[in-house]
Amino acid sequence: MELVLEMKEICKTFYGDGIVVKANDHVNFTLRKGEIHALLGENGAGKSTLVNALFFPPDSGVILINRKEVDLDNPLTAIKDYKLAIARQDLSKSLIERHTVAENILSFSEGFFLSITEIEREIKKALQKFDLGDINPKAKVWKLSGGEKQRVEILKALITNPDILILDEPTAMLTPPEIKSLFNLLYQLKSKGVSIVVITHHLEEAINFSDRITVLRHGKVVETLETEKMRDHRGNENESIRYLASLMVGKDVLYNLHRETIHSGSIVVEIKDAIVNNDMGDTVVLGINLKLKANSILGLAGISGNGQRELIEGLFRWRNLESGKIIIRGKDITNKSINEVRKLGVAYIPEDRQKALVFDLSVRDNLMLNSYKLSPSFFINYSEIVSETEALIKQYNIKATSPLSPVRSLSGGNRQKVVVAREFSLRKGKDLILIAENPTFGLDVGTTQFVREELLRKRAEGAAILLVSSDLTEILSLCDEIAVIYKGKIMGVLTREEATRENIGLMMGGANLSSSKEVLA
Amino acid sequence: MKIYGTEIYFQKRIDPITGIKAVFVRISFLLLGLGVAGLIFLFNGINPIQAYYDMIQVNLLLIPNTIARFIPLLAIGIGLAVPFKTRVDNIGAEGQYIIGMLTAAGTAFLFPDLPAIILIPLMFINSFILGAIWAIPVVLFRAKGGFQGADVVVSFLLVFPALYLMEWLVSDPWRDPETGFTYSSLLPVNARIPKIPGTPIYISIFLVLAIALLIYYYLFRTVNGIPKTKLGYEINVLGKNPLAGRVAGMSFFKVILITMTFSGGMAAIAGVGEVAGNSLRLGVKSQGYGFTGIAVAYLGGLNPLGIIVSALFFAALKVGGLALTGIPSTVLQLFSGIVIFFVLLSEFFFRFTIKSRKLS
Repeated sequence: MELVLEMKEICKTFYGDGIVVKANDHVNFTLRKGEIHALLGENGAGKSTLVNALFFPPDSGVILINRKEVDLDNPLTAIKDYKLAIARQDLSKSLIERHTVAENILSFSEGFFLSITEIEREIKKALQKFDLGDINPKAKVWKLSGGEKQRVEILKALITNPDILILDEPTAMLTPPEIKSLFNLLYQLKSKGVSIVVITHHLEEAINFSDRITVLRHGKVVETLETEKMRDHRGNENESIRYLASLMVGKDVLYNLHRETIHSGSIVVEIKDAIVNNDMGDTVVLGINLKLKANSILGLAGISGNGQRELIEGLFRWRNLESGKIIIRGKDITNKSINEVRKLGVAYIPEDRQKALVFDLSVRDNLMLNSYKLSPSFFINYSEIVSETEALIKQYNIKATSPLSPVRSLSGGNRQKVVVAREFSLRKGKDLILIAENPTFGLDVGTTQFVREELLRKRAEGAAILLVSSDLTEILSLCDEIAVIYKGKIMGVLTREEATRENIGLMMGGANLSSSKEVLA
Repeated sequence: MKIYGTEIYFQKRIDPITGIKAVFVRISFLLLGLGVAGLIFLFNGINPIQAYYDMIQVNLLLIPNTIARFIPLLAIGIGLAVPFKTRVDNIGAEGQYIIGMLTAAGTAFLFPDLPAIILIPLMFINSFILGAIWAIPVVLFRAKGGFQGADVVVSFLLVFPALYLMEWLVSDPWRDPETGFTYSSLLPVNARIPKIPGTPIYISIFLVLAIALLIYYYLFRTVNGIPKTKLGYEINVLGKNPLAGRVAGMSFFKVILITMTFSGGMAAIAGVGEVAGNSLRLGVKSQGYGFTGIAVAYLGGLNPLGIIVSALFFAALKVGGLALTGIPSTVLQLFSGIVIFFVLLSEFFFRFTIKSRKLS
């Protein structure tokens, strides 16, 4: 088989504020002529980073196109000289919202003079040719629905007649019939000799539509499989899905944590039929029901981007619910302000540290972000704040040169300790409701362990905790109940005893509940 | 930026510059600005050293005049420092200042017979309220609209309605019937703010100084990193990271409503002083104190104590201009423009450092 694309030993590391992520760690990847190759993995596995290496140079590694080493230092050479094309995942960055469809695609046209009417004609022709439905080229992109935007993005890639086509999560916004017609189109292109990479975390898509599958986890290649062979080998489709799920989520052992058996208490927070839109106006949370109980940790597992963020933001009143209700301790908070939600004892550890910390202010300023409100007058209770912040620094062992040094000067682990110390001390015992979003993301081993132990301690003290995490091992080690979210819906809530890595992995990958139960049976 | 195999780049500062070092950085930028402005003098055939020497001499002779000019600059500078600290850029203090002048004159013309003890406070109160109202559109567009730069655009554009309103008022309804020139009649005697005998310093200087000190004590001063009031803390947090502030339950709208209305009100108070203490009538042009106030606030490090010093400096600059006879007035404006530019430029170095690395 002729290899059109080879990527050898690709490395890429991202440096955040106090966080180092090895997104690609010596990744090898090959693409044959005329194949559909699925790149499978959880979020953060390094799939998008890998294909981005074709448009922006990676830290190290070699890229060969048609067996010749190439230097792809900007997207335009990749698109024009090597006939690569990509439909990106993040449409808000890839499409210019204020421009029309035609204007978005115009940037790829050839020639000195630009004719918008010609482009519009071309687009109409192309839409028909590729069977991508009816989209008005004169429409402004921000007026389009999510599915239409996705189709524009795909069209943008197709219109250059590429030899190598890369689709990053192309089906996220599409309906099932649209997905089917997209893959029909891919088969047609394939028969004409186009080589296609499809990035996905949907197991069924990978199995049903691809020729080969490469599974990535934590920035490394786990395995590259021939889809046909695997199916033959495994017998039936369910078996294959199950195998892929296990490759995708890994087989790490559970963390060794001291976890007392406690019976869950009464219901503290109730989410009823919540429907939430994202920033683009698409409905991404489709009627979710969840219950948080005292003395208990509810885990929300799922590949990120399936509506977790919007659900939490809705719960926290950062975002409005389209419909549904949120009830905290019997009080309907659906239309209350963030401040009123906070007053009910809701502590929040956001995934985005920018939302949790003011980097330019001191450790003390950051620790008093909740407690400064406590005094009844306009004034801040000076002595109380001093003693409280000193106590927190000691109790949580925050390593800072002084309480007055800016948080920016702290290490990543100590920064997160500041957040944890502040939020965990919001209320005592049963009065605490805690929402934690990937609280250990990017932390060193010691702090990770510390945060998890603190979560369990708060659980023992009576707090009701919602843990959103894309780390399955973390969820399995800590939670009493696990809800799995997929495409804005809860696939099911499993108790600790029912939950296994496999069946959660299946539900995360969208295998529907009945078939996954069959698999388990 | 790449120069001969060396890359020069900007990096965000981890440890902010504070205390004496901050004062030093500001003063060195000021000197740099004076140096560049000196070149302009040189091109106009004036020895800059002689010019600066003359400016100092004039100021020493006219200390009371400098202090009189210092009053509006201090009021506006203090007023601006508060929203600037919340990272809401009120660059339209000029408009609020003009509205203050108009309201003061209007109140005086409306009730010329009220005793001074009532009329003058009434002028201050009315002006403060209208100046604050003039700032409210900025709050609405900034907090409720989706556009981050709305504060800059809206506050700046609101200068012009105020300016044209003044032009219309002095050229028609309030025009001085005696002379027929395009300025208003003199303010009634009861509306004139008393002065310290023998000087042009009007007594609202005490009001403005008191407000400056109160703002310092209640909003800006921190003891062991803790401000005196909740509002002071909220201003700190929202100014540095509004996202984190909102997650903690702070109301961005509430805080910028307070800071902006205060800012508008202070600019208006400066206007009252100017019209009722200094000029005693309205003209078609304003002094541009509102724009100078921006530089006053930044040169003062957004700290009331620093602003007192920087307001004095800019007042001295204005008075010093009297010494520069024989050059076009546009050169004088260019001069203060350059100084303001360099003062604002220093803000960049408070946030970034310049580093270089060799490219392999």
